[in-house]
Amino acid sequence: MIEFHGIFKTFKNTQAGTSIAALENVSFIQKEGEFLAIMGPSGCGKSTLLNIVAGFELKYEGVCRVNGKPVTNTGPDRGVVFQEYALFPWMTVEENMTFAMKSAGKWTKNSSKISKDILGRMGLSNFLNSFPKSLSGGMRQRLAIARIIAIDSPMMLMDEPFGALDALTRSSLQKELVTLWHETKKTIFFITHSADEAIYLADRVIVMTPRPGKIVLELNIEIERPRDPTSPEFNEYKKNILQVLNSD
Amino acid sequence: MKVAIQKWWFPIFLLCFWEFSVSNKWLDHSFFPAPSSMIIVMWGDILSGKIIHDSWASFQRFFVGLFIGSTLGVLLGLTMAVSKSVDFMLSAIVQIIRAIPPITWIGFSILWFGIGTKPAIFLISLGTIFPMLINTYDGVRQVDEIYIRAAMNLGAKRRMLFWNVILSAALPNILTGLRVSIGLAWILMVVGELIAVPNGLGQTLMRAQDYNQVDRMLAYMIVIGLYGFLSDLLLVQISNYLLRWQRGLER
Repeated sequence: MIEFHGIFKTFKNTQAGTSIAALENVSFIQKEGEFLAIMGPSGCGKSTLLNIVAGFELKYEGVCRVNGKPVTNTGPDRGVVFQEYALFPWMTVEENMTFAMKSAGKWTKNSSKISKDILGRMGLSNFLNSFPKSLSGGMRQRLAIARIIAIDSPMMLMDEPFGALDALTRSSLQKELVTLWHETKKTIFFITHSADEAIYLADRVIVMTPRPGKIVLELNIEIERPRDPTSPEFNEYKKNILQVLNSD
Repeated sequence: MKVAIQKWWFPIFLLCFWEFSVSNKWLDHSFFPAPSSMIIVMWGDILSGKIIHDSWASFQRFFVGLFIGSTLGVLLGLTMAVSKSVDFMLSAIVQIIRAIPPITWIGFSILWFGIGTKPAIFLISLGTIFPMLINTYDGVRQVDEIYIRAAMNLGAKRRMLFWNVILSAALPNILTGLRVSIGLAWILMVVGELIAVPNGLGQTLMRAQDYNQVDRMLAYMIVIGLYGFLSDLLLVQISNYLLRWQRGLER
Protein backbone atom coordinates (compact mmCIF):
# COMPACT_ATOMS: atom_id res chain seq x y z
CA MET A 1 0.00 0.00 0.00
CA ILE A 2 1.26 3.47 -0.93
CA GLU A 3 0.01 6.51 0.99
CA PHE A 4 0.52 10.19 0.24
CA HIS A 5 -0.65 12.66 2.88
CA GLY A 6 -0.55 16.37 2.18
CA ILE A 7 2.56 16.38 0.01
CA PHE A 8 4.03 19.80 -0.86
CA LYS A 9 7.17 20.11 -2.91
CA THR A 10 8.84 23.28 -4.13
CA PHE A 11 11.84 23.43 -6.45
CA LYS A 12 13.97 26.47 -5.75
CA ASN A 13 16.32 28.05 -8.23
CA THR A 14 18.71 29.83 -5.88
CA GLN A 15 20.51 31.67 -8.67
CA ALA A 16 17.40 33.15 -10.25
CA GLY A 17 15.71 33.49 -6.88
CA THR A 18 12.60 31.81 -8.22
CA SER A 19 10.70 28.81 -6.98
CA ILE A 20 8.23 26.46 -8.63
CA ALA A 21 5.47 24.69 -6.74
CA ALA A 22 5.82 21.17 -8.13
CA LEU A 23 3.27 19.58 -5.81
CA GLU A 24 0.56 21.17 -3.73
CA ASN A 25 -1.35 19.23 -1.12
CA VAL A 26 -1.34 15.88 -2.87
CA SER A 27 -3.02 13.06 -0.96
CA PHE A 28 -4.18 9.62 -2.08
CA ILE A 29 -3.83 5.96 -1.27
CA GLN A 30 -2.99 3.09 -3.57
CA LYS A 31 -4.16 -0.35 -2.48
CA GLU A 32 -2.04 -3.44 -2.74
CA GLY A 33 -2.32 -5.09 -6.15
CA GLU A 34 -3.93 -2.04 -7.69
CA PHE A 35 -2.90 -0.76 -11.10
CA LEU A 36 -2.82 2.99 -10.66
CA ALA A 37 -1.99 5.52 -13.37
CA ILE A 38 -0.98 9.10 -12.64
CA MET A 39 -1.70 11.13 -15.72
CA GLY A 40 -1.01 14.74 -16.59
CA PRO A 41 0.95 17.12 -18.84
CA SER A 42 4.64 17.75 -18.27
CA GLY A 43 5.40 19.86 -15.22
CA CYS A 44 2.45 18.56 -13.19
CA GLY A 45 4.74 16.87 -10.71
CA LYS A 46 3.83 13.28 -11.58
CA SER A 47 7.44 12.15 -11.86
CA THR A 48 8.23 13.91 -8.59
CA LEU A 49 5.57 11.74 -6.96
CA LEU A 50 7.28 8.64 -8.31
CA ASN A 51 10.65 9.88 -7.10
CA ILE A 52 9.18 10.33 -3.65
CA VAL A 53 7.79 6.77 -3.44
CA ALA A 54 10.96 5.37 -4.96
CA GLY A 55 13.00 7.15 -2.29
CA PHE A 56 15.01 9.26 -4.73
CA GLU A 57 13.43 12.47 -3.49
CA LEU A 58 13.51 12.87 0.28
CA LYS A 59 13.06 16.63 0.76
CA TYR A 60 9.39 17.56 0.79
CA GLU A 61 6.58 18.42 3.16
CA GLY A 62 3.97 15.85 4.08
CA VAL A 63 4.12 12.12 4.60
CA CYS A 64 4.70 9.29 2.16
CA ARG A 65 4.32 5.76 3.53
CA VAL A 66 4.82 2.42 1.86
CA ASN A 67 3.16 -0.46 3.71
CA GLY A 68 2.80 1.79 6.72
CA LYS A 69 6.45 2.80 6.92
CA PRO A 70 7.69 6.28 5.99
CA VAL A 71 9.99 6.23 2.95
CA THR A 72 13.57 6.99 3.97
CA ASN A 73 15.59 5.42 1.17
CA THR A 74 15.29 3.56 -2.12
CA GLY A 75 15.24 -0.20 -2.38
CA PRO A 76 14.35 -3.32 -4.34
CA ASP A 77 10.92 -3.60 -2.71
CA ARG A 78 9.91 -0.74 -5.05
CA GLY A 79 11.45 -1.62 -8.40
CA VAL A 80 11.60 1.31 -10.80
CA VAL A 81 11.27 1.12 -14.59
CA PHE A 82 12.73 4.31 -16.04
CA GLN A 83 11.79 6.00 -19.30
CA GLU A 84 15.49 6.03 -20.24
CA TYR A 85 15.69 2.27 -19.43
CA ALA A 86 18.70 2.77 -17.10
CA LEU A 87 20.22 -0.55 -18.14
CA PHE A 88 23.94 -0.87 -17.57
CA PRO A 89 25.43 -0.62 -21.06
CA TRP A 90 28.67 -2.40 -20.09
CA MET A 91 26.78 -5.53 -19.02
CA THR A 92 25.19 -8.04 -21.37
CA VAL A 93 21.48 -8.79 -21.11
CA GLU A 94 22.19 -11.74 -18.84
CA GLU A 95 24.73 -9.80 -16.76
CA ASN A 96 22.18 -7.03 -16.23
CA MET A 97 19.80 -9.63 -14.79
CA THR A 98 22.52 -11.16 -12.64
CA PHE A 99 23.54 -7.77 -11.30
CA ALA A 100 19.92 -6.98 -10.38
CA MET A 101 19.39 -10.29 -8.60
CA LYS A 102 22.69 -10.08 -6.73
CA SER A 103 22.05 -6.47 -5.72
CA ALA A 104 18.63 -7.36 -4.38
CA GLY A 105 20.05 -10.28 -2.45
CA LYS A 106 18.02 -12.75 -4.51
CA TRP A 107 20.87 -14.73 -5.98
CA THR A 108 20.69 -18.46 -5.32
CA LYS A 109 21.74 -21.64 -7.10
CA ASN A 110 18.66 -21.58 -9.34
CA SER A 111 18.88 -17.91 -10.22
CA SER A 112 20.66 -18.37 -13.51
CA LYS A 113 17.83 -20.61 -14.69
CA ILE A 114 15.15 -18.27 -13.31
CA SER A 115 16.80 -15.39 -15.11
CA LYS A 116 16.80 -17.31 -18.40
CA ASP A 117 13.14 -18.24 -17.93
CA ILE A 118 12.12 -14.64 -17.37
CA LEU A 119 14.16 -13.46 -20.35
CA GLY A 120 12.54 -16.17 -22.45
CA ARG A 121 9.09 -15.03 -21.37
CA MET A 122 10.01 -11.46 -22.33
CA GLY A 123 11.19 -12.60 -25.76
CA LEU A 124 14.88 -12.00 -25.10
CA SER A 125 16.16 -15.59 -25.29
CA ASN A 126 18.23 -14.92 -28.36
CA PHE A 127 19.93 -11.90 -26.86
CA LEU A 128 21.44 -13.28 -23.64
CA ASN A 129 24.94 -12.19 -24.62
CA SER A 130 23.99 -8.96 -26.38
CA PHE A 131 24.78 -5.57 -24.99
CA PRO A 132 21.89 -3.10 -24.46
CA LYS A 133 23.20 -0.87 -27.24
CA SER A 134 22.42 -3.52 -29.83
CA LEU A 135 18.81 -3.89 -28.63
CA SER A 136 15.82 -1.93 -29.91
CA GLY A 137 14.00 0.44 -27.57
CA GLY A 138 11.20 -2.05 -27.01
CA MET A 139 13.62 -4.83 -26.12
CA ARG A 140 15.54 -2.56 -23.78
CA GLN A 141 12.35 -1.77 -21.90
CA ARG A 142 11.46 -5.48 -21.84
CA LEU A 143 14.81 -6.10 -20.20
CA ALA A 144 14.21 -3.30 -17.70
CA ILE A 145 10.87 -4.93 -16.78
CA ALA A 146 12.46 -8.40 -16.69
CA ARG A 147 14.98 -7.04 -14.22
CA ILE A 148 12.20 -5.95 -11.86
CA ILE A 149 10.43 -9.30 -12.22
CA ALA A 150 13.70 -11.05 -11.43
CA ILE A 151 14.14 -9.23 -8.13
CA ASP A 152 10.57 -10.21 -7.27
CA SER A 153 9.60 -6.70 -6.30
CA PRO A 154 6.00 -6.55 -5.02
CA MET A 155 5.68 -3.04 -6.45
CA MET A 156 6.62 -1.73 -9.85
CA LEU A 157 7.05 2.02 -10.24
CA MET A 158 6.99 2.95 -13.91
CA ASP A 159 8.02 6.44 -15.02
CA GLU A 160 6.60 6.97 -18.53
CA PRO A 161 8.17 3.65 -19.50
CA PHE A 162 6.78 3.54 -23.03
CA GLY A 163 7.13 7.25 -23.76
CA ALA A 164 10.14 6.86 -26.04
CA LEU A 165 8.75 3.95 -28.06
CA ASP A 166 6.97 3.89 -31.39
CA ALA A 167 3.19 3.40 -31.36
CA LEU A 168 3.20 -0.29 -32.37
CA THR A 169 5.84 -1.32 -29.88
CA ARG A 170 4.10 0.71 -27.22
CA SER A 171 0.77 -0.98 -27.74
CA SER A 172 2.26 -4.48 -27.66
CA LEU A 173 4.16 -3.67 -24.46
CA GLN A 174 0.97 -2.29 -22.91
CA LYS A 175 -0.79 -5.59 -23.67
CA GLU A 176 2.08 -7.57 -22.17
CA LEU A 177 2.08 -5.39 -19.09
CA VAL A 178 -1.61 -6.07 -18.44
CA THR A 179 -0.99 -9.82 -18.79
CA LEU A 180 2.00 -9.59 -16.49
CA TRP A 181 0.00 -7.68 -13.92
CA HIS A 182 -2.77 -10.32 -14.00
CA GLU A 183 -0.23 -13.08 -13.46
CA THR A 184 1.90 -11.48 -10.78
CA LYS A 185 -0.62 -9.27 -8.95
CA LYS A 186 2.03 -6.62 -8.49
CA THR A 187 1.10 -3.14 -7.30
CA ILE A 188 1.80 -0.94 -10.31
CA PHE A 189 2.34 2.81 -10.01
CA PHE A 190 2.33 4.07 -13.57
CA ILE A 191 3.24 7.60 -14.70
CA THR A 192 2.09 8.73 -18.14
CA HIS A 193 1.14 11.83 -20.09
CA SER A 194 -1.22 9.87 -22.33
CA ALA A 195 -4.90 9.64 -21.39
CA ASP A 196 -5.30 6.65 -23.71
CA GLU A 197 -2.50 4.76 -22.06
CA ALA A 198 -3.83 5.50 -18.57
CA ILE A 199 -7.37 4.37 -19.41
CA TYR A 200 -6.17 1.31 -21.28
CA LEU A 201 -4.00 0.07 -18.43
CA ALA A 202 -5.19 1.20 -15.04
CA ASP A 203 -7.84 0.32 -12.47
CA ARG A 204 -7.84 3.93 -11.42
CA VAL A 205 -6.52 7.09 -13.05
CA ILE A 206 -5.42 10.15 -11.09
CA VAL A 207 -5.29 13.28 -13.26
CA MET A 208 -3.00 16.16 -12.34
CA THR A 209 -2.49 19.69 -13.66
CA PRO A 210 0.66 21.84 -13.44
CA ARG A 211 1.60 25.12 -11.69
CA PRO A 212 1.07 24.09 -8.98
CA GLY A 213 0.95 20.32 -9.44
CA LYS A 214 -2.28 19.08 -7.92
CA ILE A 215 -4.89 16.38 -8.34
CA VAL A 216 -7.92 17.52 -10.34
CA LEU A 217 -9.70 14.26 -11.06
CA GLU A 218 -9.83 10.64 -9.91
CA LEU A 219 -11.50 8.03 -12.09
CA ASN A 220 -12.17 4.35 -11.53
CA ILE A 221 -12.00 2.72 -14.93
CA GLU A 222 -14.74 0.13 -14.94
CA ILE A 223 -14.20 -1.52 -18.30
CA GLU A 224 -13.48 -5.23 -18.61
CA ARG A 225 -9.98 -6.10 -19.81
CA PRO A 226 -8.75 -6.41 -22.51
CA ARG A 227 -10.00 -2.94 -23.25
CA ASP A 228 -10.84 -1.57 -26.63
CA PRO A 229 -9.55 2.00 -27.07
CA THR A 230 -12.12 2.62 -29.79
CA SER A 231 -15.18 1.68 -27.74
CA PRO A 232 -17.73 4.36 -26.69
CA GLU A 233 -17.19 3.85 -22.95
CA PHE A 234 -13.43 4.23 -23.41
CA ASN A 235 -14.02 7.51 -25.19
CA GLU A 236 -16.39 8.62 -22.47
CA TYR A 237 -13.56 8.36 -19.93
CA LYS A 238 -11.19 10.10 -22.30
CA LYS A 239 -13.60 12.97 -22.88
CA ASN A 240 -13.97 13.31 -19.15
CA ILE A 241 -10.23 13.64 -18.61
CA LEU A 242 -9.57 15.98 -21.52
CA GLN A 243 -12.38 18.28 -20.40
CA VAL A 244 -10.76 18.72 -17.00
CA LEU A 245 -7.32 19.28 -18.53
CA ASN A 246 -8.56 21.81 -21.07
CA SER A 247 -10.67 23.80 -18.63
CA ASP A 248 -7.57 25.37 -17.08
CA MET B 1 45.98 -6.44 -46.69
CA LYS B 2 44.88 -3.46 -48.73
CA VAL B 3 44.90 -1.32 -45.61
CA ALA B 4 48.40 -2.54 -44.79
CA ILE B 5 49.61 -1.42 -48.20
CA GLN B 6 47.92 1.95 -47.83
CA LYS B 7 49.52 2.40 -44.43
CA TRP B 8 53.03 1.25 -45.21
CA TRP B 9 53.89 2.11 -48.80
CA PHE B 10 54.92 5.65 -47.94
CA PRO B 11 57.23 4.89 -44.98
CA ILE B 12 58.88 2.16 -47.05
CA PHE B 13 59.20 4.48 -50.02
CA LEU B 14 60.87 7.10 -47.78
CA LEU B 15 63.37 4.53 -46.48
CA CYS B 16 64.24 3.45 -50.04
CA PHE B 17 64.65 7.06 -51.09
CA TRP B 18 66.88 7.70 -48.09
CA GLU B 19 69.00 4.63 -48.85
CA PHE B 20 69.31 5.70 -52.48
CA SER B 21 70.28 9.26 -51.48
CA VAL B 22 73.07 8.07 -49.20
CA SER B 23 74.45 5.57 -51.72
CA ASN B 24 74.50 8.33 -54.35
CA LYS B 25 76.33 10.63 -51.91
CA TRP B 26 73.49 13.14 -51.92
CA LEU B 27 73.42 12.68 -48.17
CA ASP B 28 76.48 12.31 -45.96
CA HIS B 29 76.50 8.95 -44.17
CA SER B 30 78.05 10.38 -40.98
CA PHE B 31 75.06 12.73 -40.59
CA PHE B 32 72.37 10.57 -42.15
CA PRO B 33 73.33 6.91 -41.75
CA ALA B 34 71.87 4.71 -44.45
CA PRO B 35 68.97 2.48 -43.38
CA SER B 36 70.84 -0.59 -44.64
CA SER B 37 73.85 0.00 -42.37
CA MET B 38 71.49 0.80 -39.50
CA ILE B 39 69.72 -2.52 -40.06
CA ILE B 40 73.05 -4.38 -40.16
CA VAL B 41 74.02 -2.88 -36.79
CA MET B 42 70.57 -3.63 -35.41
CA TRP B 43 70.73 -7.21 -36.60
CA GLY B 44 74.16 -7.61 -35.07
CA ASP B 45 72.91 -6.26 -31.75
CA ILE B 46 69.93 -8.60 -31.88
CA LEU B 47 72.15 -11.63 -32.54
CA SER B 48 74.62 -10.67 -29.80
CA GLY B 49 71.69 -10.36 -27.38
CA LYS B 50 72.53 -6.75 -26.66
CA ILE B 51 69.18 -5.35 -27.73
CA ILE B 52 67.27 -8.05 -25.87
CA HIS B 53 69.33 -7.44 -22.75
CA ASP B 54 68.81 -3.67 -22.98
CA SER B 55 65.12 -4.08 -23.77
CA TRP B 56 64.59 -6.33 -20.78
CA ALA B 57 66.28 -3.83 -18.45
CA SER B 58 64.21 -0.99 -19.91
CA PHE B 59 60.95 -2.94 -19.83
CA GLN B 60 61.34 -3.59 -16.14
CA ARG B 61 61.72 0.12 -15.41
CA PHE B 62 58.89 0.92 -17.78
CA PHE B 63 56.44 -1.52 -16.24
CA VAL B 64 57.33 -0.90 -12.61
CA GLY B 65 57.14 2.87 -13.11
CA LEU B 66 53.93 2.69 -15.10
CA PHE B 67 52.38 0.32 -12.56
CA ILE B 68 53.23 2.52 -9.57
CA GLY B 69 52.22 5.73 -11.36
CA SER B 70 48.95 4.51 -12.83
CA THR B 71 47.86 2.70 -9.67
CA LEU B 72 48.48 5.80 -7.58
CA GLY B 73 46.79 7.95 -10.24
CA VAL B 74 43.64 5.81 -10.31
CA LEU B 75 43.44 5.61 -6.53
CA LEU B 76 43.95 9.36 -6.07
CA GLY B 77 41.54 10.19 -8.89
CA LEU B 78 38.86 7.95 -7.40
CA THR B 79 39.30 9.30 -3.90
CA MET B 80 39.22 12.91 -5.07
CA ALA B 81 36.16 12.31 -7.23
CA VAL B 82 34.28 10.63 -4.41
CA SER B 83 35.30 12.82 -1.48
CA LYS B 84 34.86 16.55 -1.69
CA SER B 85 37.14 17.25 1.26
CA VAL B 86 40.00 15.21 -0.22
CA ASP B 87 39.37 16.98 -3.52
CA PHE B 88 39.68 20.42 -1.89
CA MET B 89 42.71 19.35 0.11
CA LEU B 90 44.70 18.00 -2.84
CA SER B 91 43.53 19.90 -5.91
CA ALA B 92 45.98 22.84 -5.61
CA ILE B 93 48.94 20.53 -5.02
CA VAL B 94 47.94 18.30 -7.91
CA GLN B 95 47.47 21.19 -10.33
CA ILE B 96 50.84 22.74 -9.48
CA ILE B 97 52.91 19.55 -9.53
CA ARG B 98 51.18 18.50 -12.74
CA ALA B 99 52.39 21.69 -14.42
CA ILE B 100 56.05 20.96 -13.60
CA PRO B 101 57.73 19.01 -16.43
CA PRO B 102 58.76 15.64 -14.97
CA ILE B 103 62.27 16.01 -16.45
CA THR B 104 62.98 18.86 -14.03
CA TRP B 105 62.79 16.33 -11.19
CA ILE B 106 66.03 14.67 -12.35
CA GLY B 107 68.10 16.61 -9.81
CA PHE B 108 65.99 15.64 -6.84
CA SER B 109 65.48 12.11 -8.05
CA ILE B 110 69.25 11.56 -7.97
CA LEU B 111 69.53 13.27 -4.58
CA TRP B 112 66.82 11.09 -3.11
CA PHE B 113 67.40 7.78 -4.87
CA GLY B 114 71.05 7.90 -5.93
CA ILE B 115 71.95 6.71 -9.39
CA GLY B 116 70.65 3.58 -11.04
CA THR B 117 67.20 2.19 -11.68
CA LYS B 118 65.33 3.89 -8.86
CA PRO B 119 65.41 7.49 -10.08
CA ALA B 120 64.26 6.31 -13.53
CA ILE B 121 61.30 4.50 -11.97
CA PHE B 122 60.59 7.59 -9.88
CA LEU B 123 60.46 9.79 -12.99
CA ILE B 124 58.16 7.39 -14.85
CA SER B 125 55.84 7.07 -11.87
CA LEU B 126 55.68 10.80 -11.35
CA GLY B 127 54.91 11.49 -14.99
CA THR B 128 52.23 8.84 -15.35
CA ILE B 129 50.30 9.63 -12.17
CA PHE B 130 48.66 12.76 -13.54
CA PRO B 131 47.09 11.61 -16.81
CA MET B 132 45.59 8.69 -14.88
CA LEU B 133 44.46 10.89 -12.02
CA ILE B 134 42.78 13.52 -14.16
CA ASN B 135 41.05 11.05 -16.44
CA THR B 136 39.86 8.82 -13.61
CA TYR B 137 38.58 11.87 -11.76
CA ASP B 138 36.66 13.12 -14.80
CA GLY B 139 35.36 9.65 -15.58
CA VAL B 140 33.94 9.13 -12.11
CA ARG B 141 32.48 12.64 -11.95
CA GLN B 142 30.76 12.14 -15.29
CA VAL B 143 29.00 8.90 -14.36
CA ASP B 144 25.37 9.40 -15.28
CA GLU B 145 23.28 9.81 -12.13
CA ILE B 146 20.64 7.44 -13.51
CA TYR B 147 22.97 4.42 -13.27
CA ILE B 148 23.58 5.13 -9.62
CA ARG B 149 19.86 5.60 -9.02
CA ALA B 150 19.03 2.36 -10.80
CA ALA B 151 21.70 0.41 -8.93
CA MET B 152 20.62 1.79 -5.56
CA ASN B 153 17.01 1.02 -6.39
CA LEU B 154 17.98 -2.58 -7.14
CA GLY B 155 19.58 -2.66 -3.70
CA ALA B 156 23.25 -2.62 -4.73
CA LYS B 157 25.63 -2.45 -1.79
CA ARG B 158 28.66 -0.16 -1.84
CA ARG B 159 31.06 -2.77 -3.19
CA MET B 160 28.88 -3.63 -6.20
CA LEU B 161 28.03 0.02 -6.77
CA PHE B 162 31.71 0.83 -6.87
CA TRP B 163 33.05 -2.04 -8.97
CA ASN B 164 30.16 -2.85 -11.29
CA VAL B 165 28.76 0.61 -11.82
CA ILE B 166 31.07 3.53 -11.05
CA LEU B 167 34.35 1.97 -12.11
CA SER B 168 32.82 0.33 -15.19
CA ALA B 169 31.22 3.59 -16.24
CA ALA B 170 34.54 5.41 -15.80
CA LEU B 171 36.56 2.75 -17.64
CA PRO B 172 36.59 4.54 -21.03
CA ASN B 173 38.19 7.58 -19.40
CA ILE B 174 40.62 5.48 -17.38
CA LEU B 175 41.80 3.74 -20.55
CA THR B 176 42.28 7.10 -22.27
CA GLY B 177 44.43 8.12 -19.31
CA LEU B 178 46.41 4.90 -19.59
CA ARG B 179 47.08 5.55 -23.25
CA VAL B 180 48.55 8.98 -22.51
CA SER B 181 50.50 7.51 -19.59
CA ILE B 182 52.07 4.78 -21.71
CA GLY B 183 53.27 7.36 -24.22
CA LEU B 184 54.78 9.43 -21.43
CA ALA B 185 56.32 6.39 -19.75
CA TRP B 186 58.41 5.56 -22.85
CA ILE B 187 59.73 9.11 -23.03
CA LEU B 188 60.52 9.25 -19.33
CA MET B 189 62.12 5.81 -19.40
CA VAL B 190 64.67 7.00 -21.93
CA VAL B 191 65.20 10.26 -20.02
CA GLY B 192 65.67 8.33 -16.79
CA GLU B 193 68.24 6.08 -18.43
CA LEU B 194 70.33 9.00 -19.57
CA ILE B 195 71.28 9.31 -15.91
CA ALA B 196 73.93 6.75 -15.07
CA VAL B 197 72.27 3.36 -15.25
CA PRO B 198 74.39 0.36 -16.26
CA ASN B 199 72.14 -0.81 -19.12
CA GLY B 200 68.95 -0.17 -21.01
CA LEU B 201 67.94 1.23 -24.37
CA GLY B 202 68.41 4.87 -23.36
CA GLN B 203 71.82 4.17 -21.85
CA THR B 204 73.15 2.38 -24.94
CA LEU B 205 71.80 5.23 -27.03
CA MET B 206 73.76 7.71 -24.85
CA ARG B 207 76.95 5.71 -25.21
CA ALA B 208 76.51 5.45 -28.96
CA GLN B 209 76.27 9.23 -28.98
CA ASP B 210 79.50 9.52 -26.97
CA TYR B 211 81.35 7.32 -29.47
CA ASN B 212 79.62 8.89 -32.45
CA GLN B 213 78.17 5.53 -33.58
CA VAL B 214 75.50 7.05 -35.79
CA ASP B 215 74.22 3.68 -37.04
CA ARG B 216 73.64 2.43 -33.53
CA MET B 217 72.08 5.74 -32.43
CA LEU B 218 69.55 5.46 -35.22
CA ALA B 219 68.99 1.73 -34.60
CA TYR B 220 68.15 2.29 -30.95
CA MET B 221 65.95 5.28 -31.70
CA ILE B 222 63.97 3.15 -34.13
CA VAL B 223 63.73 0.29 -31.61
CA ILE B 224 62.37 2.67 -28.95
CA GLY B 225 59.91 4.06 -31.46
CA LEU B 226 58.75 0.58 -32.41
CA TYR B 227 58.18 -0.40 -28.79
CA GLY B 228 56.11 2.73 -28.24
CA PHE B 229 54.14 2.05 -31.39
CA LEU B 230 53.51 -1.61 -30.49
CA SER B 231 52.53 -0.89 -26.90
CA ASP B 232 50.01 1.68 -28.07
CA LEU B 233 48.66 -0.77 -30.63
CA LEU B 234 48.29 -3.41 -27.93
CA LEU B 235 46.47 -1.01 -25.62
CA VAL B 236 44.08 0.02 -28.39
CA GLN B 237 43.28 -3.66 -29.01
CA ILE B 238 42.68 -4.29 -25.30
CA SER B 239 40.54 -1.14 -25.04
CA ASN B 240 38.46 -2.17 -28.02
CA TYR B 241 37.76 -5.48 -26.34
CA LEU B 242 36.97 -4.04 -22.91
CA LEU B 243 34.79 -1.31 -24.40
CA ARG B 244 33.05 -3.50 -26.98
CA TRP B 245 29.74 -2.63 -25.30
CA GLN B 246 30.09 0.92 -26.65
CA ARG B 247 29.83 -0.29 -30.21
CA GLY B 248 26.62 -2.22 -29.70
CA LEU B 249 27.93 -5.35 -31.43
CA GLU B 250 27.20 -8.80 -30.17
CA ARG B 251 29.84 -10.64 -28.27
